[in-house]
Amino acid sequence: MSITNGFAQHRFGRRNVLRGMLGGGAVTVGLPLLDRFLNSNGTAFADGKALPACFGTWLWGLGCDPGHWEPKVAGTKYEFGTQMAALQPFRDDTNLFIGLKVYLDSHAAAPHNAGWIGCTTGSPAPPSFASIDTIVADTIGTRTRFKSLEVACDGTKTSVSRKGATANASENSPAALYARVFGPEFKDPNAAEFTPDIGDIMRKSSLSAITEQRQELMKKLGAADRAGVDQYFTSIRELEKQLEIMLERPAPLEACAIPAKGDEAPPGYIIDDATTNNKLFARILAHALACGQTNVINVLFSEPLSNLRRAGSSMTYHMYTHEEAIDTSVGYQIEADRFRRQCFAALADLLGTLKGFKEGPGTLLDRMLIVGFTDVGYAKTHGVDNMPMLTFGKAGGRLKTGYAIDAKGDTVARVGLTVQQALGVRTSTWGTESNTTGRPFAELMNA
Amino acid sequence: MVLRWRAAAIVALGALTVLGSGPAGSASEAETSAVMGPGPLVQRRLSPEQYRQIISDVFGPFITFGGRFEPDVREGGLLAIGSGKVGITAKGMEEYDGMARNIAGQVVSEKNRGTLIPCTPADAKTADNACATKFLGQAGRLLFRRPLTDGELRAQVRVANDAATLSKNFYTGLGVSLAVMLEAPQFLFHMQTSEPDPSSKGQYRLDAYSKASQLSFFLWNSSPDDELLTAAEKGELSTQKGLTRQVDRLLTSPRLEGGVRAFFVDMLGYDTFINLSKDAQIYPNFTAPVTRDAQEQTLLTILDVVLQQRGDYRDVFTTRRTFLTPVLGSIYGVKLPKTSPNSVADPWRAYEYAEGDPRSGILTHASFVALHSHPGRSSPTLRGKALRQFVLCQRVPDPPGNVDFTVIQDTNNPNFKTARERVTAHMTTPACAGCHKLMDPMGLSLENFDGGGGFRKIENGANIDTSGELDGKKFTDSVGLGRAVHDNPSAASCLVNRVSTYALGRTVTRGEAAWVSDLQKTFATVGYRIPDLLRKVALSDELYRVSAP
Amino acid sequence: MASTWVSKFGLGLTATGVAFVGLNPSSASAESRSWAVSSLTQAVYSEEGDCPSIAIDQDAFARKQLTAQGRSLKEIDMLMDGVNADGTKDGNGYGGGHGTGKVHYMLIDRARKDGKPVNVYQYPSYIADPQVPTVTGKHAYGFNLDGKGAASPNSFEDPDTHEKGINNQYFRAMGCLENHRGSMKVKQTYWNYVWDAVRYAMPAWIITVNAADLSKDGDATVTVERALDHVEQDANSGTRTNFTFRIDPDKRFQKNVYPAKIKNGVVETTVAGPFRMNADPYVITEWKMQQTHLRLTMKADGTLDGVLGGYMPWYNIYYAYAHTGESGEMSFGIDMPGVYYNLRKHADANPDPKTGQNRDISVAFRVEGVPAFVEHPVQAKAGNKKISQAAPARSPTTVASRD
Repeated sequence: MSITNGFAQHRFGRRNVLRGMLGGGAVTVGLPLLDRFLNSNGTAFADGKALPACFGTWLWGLGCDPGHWEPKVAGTKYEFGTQMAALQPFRDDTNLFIGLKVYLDSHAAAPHNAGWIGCTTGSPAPPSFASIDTIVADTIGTRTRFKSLEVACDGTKTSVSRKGATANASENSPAALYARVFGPEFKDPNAAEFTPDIGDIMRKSSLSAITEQRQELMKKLGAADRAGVDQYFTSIRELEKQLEIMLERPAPLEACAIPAKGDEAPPGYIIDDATTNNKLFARILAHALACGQTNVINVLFSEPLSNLRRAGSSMTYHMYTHEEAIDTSVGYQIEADRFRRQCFAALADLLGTLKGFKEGPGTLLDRMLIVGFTDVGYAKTHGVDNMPMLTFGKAGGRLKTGYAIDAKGDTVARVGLTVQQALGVRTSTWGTESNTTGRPFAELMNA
Repeated sequence: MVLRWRAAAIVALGALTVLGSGPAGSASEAETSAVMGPGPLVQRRLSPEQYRQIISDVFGPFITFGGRFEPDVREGGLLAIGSGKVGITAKGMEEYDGMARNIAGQVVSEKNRGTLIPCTPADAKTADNACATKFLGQAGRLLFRRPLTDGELRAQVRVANDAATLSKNFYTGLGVSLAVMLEAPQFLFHMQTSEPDPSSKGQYRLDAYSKASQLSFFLWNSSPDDELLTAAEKGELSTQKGLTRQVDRLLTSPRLEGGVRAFFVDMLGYDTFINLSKDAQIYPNFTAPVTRDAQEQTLLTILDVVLQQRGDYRDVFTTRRTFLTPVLGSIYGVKLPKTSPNSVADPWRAYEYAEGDPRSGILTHASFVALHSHPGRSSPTLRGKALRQFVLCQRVPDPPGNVDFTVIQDTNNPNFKTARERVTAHMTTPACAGCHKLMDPMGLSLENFDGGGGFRKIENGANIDTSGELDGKKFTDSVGLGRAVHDNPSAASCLVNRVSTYALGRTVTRGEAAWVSDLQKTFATVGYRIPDLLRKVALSDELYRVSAP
Repeated sequence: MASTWVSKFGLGLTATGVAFVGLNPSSASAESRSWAVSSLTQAVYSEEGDCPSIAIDQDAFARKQLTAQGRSLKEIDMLMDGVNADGTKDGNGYGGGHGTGKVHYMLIDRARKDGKPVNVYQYPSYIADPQVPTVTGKHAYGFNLDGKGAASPNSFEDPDTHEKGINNQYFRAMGCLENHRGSMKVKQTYWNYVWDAVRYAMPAWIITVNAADLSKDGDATVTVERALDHVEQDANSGTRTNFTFRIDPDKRFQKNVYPAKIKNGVVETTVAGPFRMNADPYVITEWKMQQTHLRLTMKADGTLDGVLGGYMPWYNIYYAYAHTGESGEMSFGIDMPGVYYNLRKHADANPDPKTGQNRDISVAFRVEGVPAFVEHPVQAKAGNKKISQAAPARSPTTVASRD
């Protein structure tokens, strides 16, 4: 528990704080303290402040066919394999990971579960289930109206987002999501009154206990041995500056606009309907992110064990992966491949929508970090080796993009660790048993 | 079975032969600064392990951290020296800030406050000056490794009171103040202060509290405990008798294991394990648990020799006795049944290789042969270099820039089946031969061990020749190499150099060279027993003498 | 703090020198090598034209069953589309395999006992034989189990050695199903999948070969045992080599010992006998065979590859499939009563004295192994029961309910 978390529900208007202080009586620190942090009308915008980094997950079911999604060579300027061809226009916003796997250790390969659970928890059988989005939301999602938003495009209420025993249910109707986010409860963030977080006020104030002693301490140090401590105080000053920014009115959300109410599509059991839902959801979610309503989204294109079908056919995507013979002329299952390509086309729709929201010199996608993942490496055998994983967006400049990286049999937990560190989660390792890793993809991290 | 380290009095046996110097051609590491007198004060940043250990010692082992530490910097062969040269970056500060609030939150939580906070506020909904003063004073003394100054305590209490008032919660206020203490420089750095030495005019020494920290970080890799701080407070550390009593207490404490372990983790460069990765196609058995267990195996082996058996340090290079887990067994080809149910980690097991087995001494452990190899093949050169660098304290020059490595890298070349053949071909370049002869002849004797730590007799169908040489001493295999290292004077002198600079947290000055030389002699006299060396260092005036401010 | 050292070293220090004293039951042999089974799949040899390939079209399959239940075309259309009597849609049409609608239950309860619907997987004989096609090709892997050679009825020819009289009716019965087709190069999907799904979570099978000199031709013994430990996964998704396995002291699994001969690095049993093993319920829980044969190649890279064959109760095989219920039936494209009837029809040994119905069917499995160490439970004899007590109780719940 971090101390400020205790105050997540406890945000005071300036007036309230003053009343509380006066009522408290004995220690009259409140008023001058507040005055130090607020300008006279409490409405000034912070200058040059970055918009928050946001996180997303996008799950498609049933993996890919080995040899048909990977680029021929790792590095930059690569070409996706045929199944992911729809992502080619977004290559420079993407990192593609090859050769990641879920180590099962002594756990059974729970079909269609071990894979996505491994990707989201760093463990095929997590001792206590906390999916990565909830871990990240504890850091970046505590000050938004919604800690996270979950949607499922395939008509189910399934979600990968889970903490402990309960899963966050997905919204499966775009109209319902619209009502939830942009209904009467919605307040225009650019117009609303700003109230600083009391936890930030306390933190900012407390640092004075350190800074006030700087001179005293430095006096005792010789010229030779003060360099390190000197740098320390510079860093404390940086921390103070960050807190000062937190106490100011946030920058206006340039791309925030209330979207028009959209269409409703049928529940997406049929893949074309799921594709439509994905588009409708993408638009609403992008607006919700742009308006600061949430910093975390989870999009499920289909359940891990995907039962998407085509209109007029009773064969599901899942059945094709097990029953369809491999066409030896191309080396994969033709029908299953068609489903996969459609999944990535839908993903491209989402990315295109996010990229269409201009924010300053960049786009909404630039301040996002979306992880694309699936339930199996190879659906035909339920293998959890060579799990295709991707990230999209630069996390507000903290992550480099445009790379295809061969992880050579390393654990999927490395992606999760990279994501957490890029988004400011305080952790040095992630995963359990053989999936434990302390090695983020450092080559992707901007200092 | 509870073991106690007996710090037996060092018996003067008369000086042995002066230790030999390094081999011709390999520069001994220049570690001595030009200063003639004692060295300066050093402000060392806590290592991650020290940070964790202190929090665990002060608040309990149940506290979780959740944060990343900034990478340490190796200097003079040790991270312990690098820690005196580094500060904290803005990004690192964010991490310390997050960890501090996380830890403080746990300390003041409803679950823990009853046991960790020594008083109860009159009203938990507001500030309580007395209780805050009591807690912050007590915790502050352990965290800052000295009593807080009046000014410091006042500032901390003020922070607690302000925050308690704002939040209408005494414990929240206390947590905010504790967090700020945990990110204060007095906690994050071993801040040394000096005082004039009353016994030698014009000389300076560490003050009593800095002396206590110097001692406890050296021997325990953690901050002084209450008893040591009290001894400092009472001035006992300034008397030979008082200091001896504390040194012997620290040396007989089970916490010595943590200190000795930290020293070897540093000396052997185990921080590089984090980047170790093997090609899964070539070494499929080399999984994450193997990486974890490999370093622990060697540490347990060393601790067994130097503490448990109280033996000759140099025996770590020859001992056939080691400790294994079942996954390590699969790497080494050793039959080692699990004793725990499936999915439950096995306890460590002692294991002794048969006489004559190539697997003798820590240089044959995966922690050496796999760590100092490439992802997909062994490397006599990397192994030889690591031996010089980490074990013998010798520096091998970096390779020149424009080297053609084709021959070395192609393990499928039918003309060069073994590493020896490839290295020999590479060494036809005179520019390379000069340095490679310092590394390869030792590394080649370890060629029975592949890049994943496994054993092999044949490479690409050709028998492996494991003959080698170290500083003129020839041998036929890894057992011979271990014996040669054991007998090489540089092995013992390197250990002494590392121990002394590790204790100081800086390189030694020219003025301290005689002290180190004396330690070398003592080490030989006491049969190369590390506890005796530690005692000698800990009781040395040199450890506490500093230059004038 | 004092306990840190003790806990790490306490056992180790006392265990030195005694930890590895284990009497091998065949210690009389000069040489002994063990392998942990890394893969066990049905030995199949599918070839062009040996039978029509079978993959179920879910929709047609469901319609066929509903028609057989006497429903009208219109009624079936409404059920499949989830249309209620009043014309409204209930959204619960047939979703194939994982649905929850009415059709789902109509498929599960499609057997008729005393005129009442009953679960077809439990009562497969209470529905007509769907006549699933069987293999008509002439090649199969396996053994001449009945000793009749080429004269053996319904027997095959080994595609590699051309030995005639190979008895492998399990292959004949199932070999037309799409996911049961394959070869020694391309393993058939069904077995590859089930073994892969459970191998890290079930006690390992251990094969040991003893001989005076394993590199030379001559007499040998083959032993198949069960370990307490699971195989461990390596970094390459394979099975960790050179791991040590404690042999299960359970006497039921210690009788699989067969005289054999080594020739050119291939060890083949010479006297067939009974075989008893347990496996994860996802595979075949009680693995019993008669007339057990093994032919194993000890490969130069240290691994083992070969065939295990014998007669096995066909009903055990049926339940390995049938316990997955409708989701298994749909996911694997298996008409479950078809499995029942085909196995029953092609069972070729151990007739029931009353009915004459054969109770066992000839089978052959491809078995692969990686080098392993074994530790036999001699301590158990000395009254030390610790090892057996340490055996974890295997929960049968690993079977995924949905697939």
